[in-house]
Amino acid sequence: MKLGQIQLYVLGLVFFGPACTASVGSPTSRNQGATSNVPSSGNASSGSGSSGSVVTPGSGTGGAGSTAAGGATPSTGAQPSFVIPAGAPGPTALRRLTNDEYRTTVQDLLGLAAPPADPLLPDTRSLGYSNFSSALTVSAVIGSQYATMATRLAGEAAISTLAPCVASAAEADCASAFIDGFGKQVHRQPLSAKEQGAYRALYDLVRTTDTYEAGIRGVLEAMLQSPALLYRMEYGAGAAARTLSPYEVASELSYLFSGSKPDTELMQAADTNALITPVQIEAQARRLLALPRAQANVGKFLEQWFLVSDMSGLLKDVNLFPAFASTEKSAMEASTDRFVASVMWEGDGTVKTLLSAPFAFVNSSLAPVYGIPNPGMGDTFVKTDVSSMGRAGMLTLPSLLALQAKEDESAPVKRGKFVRTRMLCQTLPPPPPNVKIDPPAPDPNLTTRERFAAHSANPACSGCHSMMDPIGFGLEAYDAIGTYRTVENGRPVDSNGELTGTDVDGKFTGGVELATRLSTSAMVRKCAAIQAARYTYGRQEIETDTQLAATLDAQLGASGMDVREVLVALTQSASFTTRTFVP
Amino acid sequence: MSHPTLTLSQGSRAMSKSLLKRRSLLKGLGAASFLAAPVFRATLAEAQAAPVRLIVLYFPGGAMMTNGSQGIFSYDKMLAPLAPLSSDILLFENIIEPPGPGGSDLGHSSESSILGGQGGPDQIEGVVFVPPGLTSFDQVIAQRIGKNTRFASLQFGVFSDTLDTDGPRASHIVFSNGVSVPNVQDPATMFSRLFNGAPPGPAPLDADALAKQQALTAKRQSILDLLKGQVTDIQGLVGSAEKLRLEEHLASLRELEKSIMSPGGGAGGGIVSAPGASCGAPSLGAGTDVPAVSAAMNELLYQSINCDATRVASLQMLHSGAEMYFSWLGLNSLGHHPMQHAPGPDFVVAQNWLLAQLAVVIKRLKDTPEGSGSMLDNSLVFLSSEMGDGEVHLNHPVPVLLAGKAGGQLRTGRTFNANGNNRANLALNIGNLMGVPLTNWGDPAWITGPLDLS
Repeated sequence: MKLGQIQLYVLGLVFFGPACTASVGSPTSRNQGATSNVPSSGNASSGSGSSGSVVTPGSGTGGAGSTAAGGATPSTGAQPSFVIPAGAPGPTALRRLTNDEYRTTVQDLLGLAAPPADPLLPDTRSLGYSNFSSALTVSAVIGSQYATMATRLAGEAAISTLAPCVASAAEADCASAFIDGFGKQVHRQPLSAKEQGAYRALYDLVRTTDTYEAGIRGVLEAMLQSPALLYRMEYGAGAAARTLSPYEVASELSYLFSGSKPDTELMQAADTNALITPVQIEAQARRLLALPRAQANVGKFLEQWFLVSDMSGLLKDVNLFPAFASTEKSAMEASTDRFVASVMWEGDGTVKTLLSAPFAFVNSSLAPVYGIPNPGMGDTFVKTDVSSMGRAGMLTLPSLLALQAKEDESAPVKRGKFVRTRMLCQTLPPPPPNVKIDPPAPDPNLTTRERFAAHSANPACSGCHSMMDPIGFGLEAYDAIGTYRTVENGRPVDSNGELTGTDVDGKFTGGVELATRLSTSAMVRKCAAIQAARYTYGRQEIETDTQLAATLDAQLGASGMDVREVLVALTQSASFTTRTFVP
Repeated sequence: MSHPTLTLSQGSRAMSKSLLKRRSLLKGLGAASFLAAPVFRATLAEAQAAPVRLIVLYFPGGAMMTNGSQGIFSYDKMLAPLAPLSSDILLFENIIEPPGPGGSDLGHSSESSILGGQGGPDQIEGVVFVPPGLTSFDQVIAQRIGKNTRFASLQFGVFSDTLDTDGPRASHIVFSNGVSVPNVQDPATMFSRLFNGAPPGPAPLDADALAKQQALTAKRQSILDLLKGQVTDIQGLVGSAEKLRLEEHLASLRELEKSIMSPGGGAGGGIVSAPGASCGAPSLGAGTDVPAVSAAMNELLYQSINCDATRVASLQMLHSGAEMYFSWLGLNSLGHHPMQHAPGPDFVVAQNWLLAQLAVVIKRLKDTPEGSGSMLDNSLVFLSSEMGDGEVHLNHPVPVLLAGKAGGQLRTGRTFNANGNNRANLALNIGNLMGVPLTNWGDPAWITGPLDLS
């Protein structure tokens, strides 16, 4: 029975068709302050803001469409590769390291073989990203975990390597040298006299009752949980319009491309004030992109963009999908990593290829999902052409489709919403308040599409659902774990769909056609640049980012938009070297 | 990890012989360090009133109202698991959640209104929403009374960060200075927080060992002072929102400071925790599914109160709009959120399960003798949801109840008709009952004064 009818009468609600009035919007800059802890974070267009990095058109190689294996083409060094229009920079920011960043930084500081695995409270995500400054804090729980970790690592550190002190030297001098040298790496900039003094006092205190080594360990214990280590400052100095210090820029570059503290060469560039001009910054960006670490970090951005970076919480019906939890899920994760890496570092690294590539990395666990009978692959992943099996790029990866599905069936609404919000950067309005939602009872004899027919039949539903369902229906050939299928509940799957409100509108049939169509879309390319801005700055996009996205599409779009070039271009934008102080 | 399990009888008053045995057992649990001589609540209660604890229990999706009567939540249907505890419950009728900025009830981001003294914001997906600059009332209370316990407050969660369309999403009901206070959703992490890394025990008698312990304490204090100084220096450079975030960092350092203070060592204490006789590290199962995690969190929450590790705790079940399938109950066709919008017998089963979990906590407190009554008599449980009628996101009324007598200050075993008053005002009652009057708190448009619960 429907209680709702009684409620409607008694409470005097007027039932009205919500008729989603908002049309599908173009990528917006979402300057609403309520969505961020930083007040008016989006309103960075203050009059006193810097004019941004306007550069003269150059003859740089640009690397657009380059197919160089292992990294983007280095620029000639004389001219920057990108013409960035002037724009207001983003807000100043205090950015706590993510858990991965902290662990890798500590690994590098101490020269460990691997990042330490001590428990840390999982990063809170925001818009799918783990590095948004507004979502990461040092709360009591993680503060306690940092302390435990610092104590352990300091206790186990090789002091003779980190803070050597020959017999002829005065211990006090050795301690000071350690504090200055190691401290500079921890703080990612030279220590102030006050900071040096505080560490020195700590050393002295411990030394009065213990050895030199114990004193150094004490300093180390403090450094490994120091806020100077934990937070990246992007503040610069001055009044409202700020210029970031070379050390802050070094940290921006390093964490974006390497996920860790600046290396020796970056620190030297900061020391010698050689991180000022667009050319200088671009050179460092390209150098870092060629290092091995860049692969994992660019991959991390892409996987967070497509919401495939974390499958750990994904559960599926064990009766329908008995092998999912035990073997298929982990294979999907590894296969996704390999696919992304292959496109980026063996291919041309473009958005177009990410969305249209005909291959996948398949092993025996995934062969059934891809519809490959008896592949004889074993556990090894083999690069396989799967284009004739209904696959093209990221959108048809089993991992993505499984994450955008229910426990036991596909989810066309969810998948349609994914394409709108994650790939087209369109915002969908929430259901209107007090909307009466009355879904029909599920009929197990019908396919998903047939069961959802009420979304389009009922005018109260269709306003919003017409934006999502026609896309998601086109992906009905992929079940709850992304297996390709042609029948569902004994009835043939209907993969007809339609794109509306995009620059690539029109009907389509199936995932390959949808993915290929989206791979040519300028809206998708611009969305890619906006997503890259979110990840680079750890915040929602601002107006300047949206403008930059349009500029980049004009420059890089014809060749499919190389993701690495987008990241390099972001280092050239106003926000990379200047900010507006938010009081 | 190994952990001791206690088999002490509850409410035992035999102090002399077993005192030494308990002291050494409790040393491993970190509880005894706070006391020069462990004094158990059984004895404390004879000398003074036991401290009143605040426990916040949250479930999403609302509860269907009784057939035919709007505004009435009774013990049939979804609140049925609480019926056996009705004599300890004050159930509210006709109490509303202040509406959002547009004047309407917008549901899925309104969790902040549970403890926030205002209405929910417009629905925001993919982003954690926290009212700027606001502190939830449990934190206001914890900040005042928290210095008496090892942890000013503890936040427990059961799958409250889950995967949604916009990616992994969290919504937290607890926040401080506009900064979300994350909860712990991993039982092993919470266990470790409560029972491992215990502070040093009472002062050792050996002079050498005592000197070592004093040096260790001095080093730890010096490190914390150094870190506090660095955080304060950064505060001087940043904007106001980030200053507030750094306040949370300072609070975490002060909490670490509490844990290094040793009665023998001399940095001072001031902590007067009084663990119950049955305080002990629980044996936790290894299960990682929802029922297993929920059972573990219930146990850990109970022990955190029983061991007097904290007097302010919250437990968040799932989160608003969670798509969790209740497959352990055989509910495999719709997730929680879709069920909420198509309420039927399945949704009743799901909500019953959530409330049954929360009822476990209340019952454990009720079953633990304390003084001349039970722990529940000296506690105040605040249980609510972010929705009233979840199907249409209707939040007037919302389900609200108080359980426990707050040390004899609250009369239970009845329903109270709030006549359209709002849940934000109830926070004032809670503050008063906890001895921390809330002033200049919450949205003045809705905060008009405590309800008259006499």
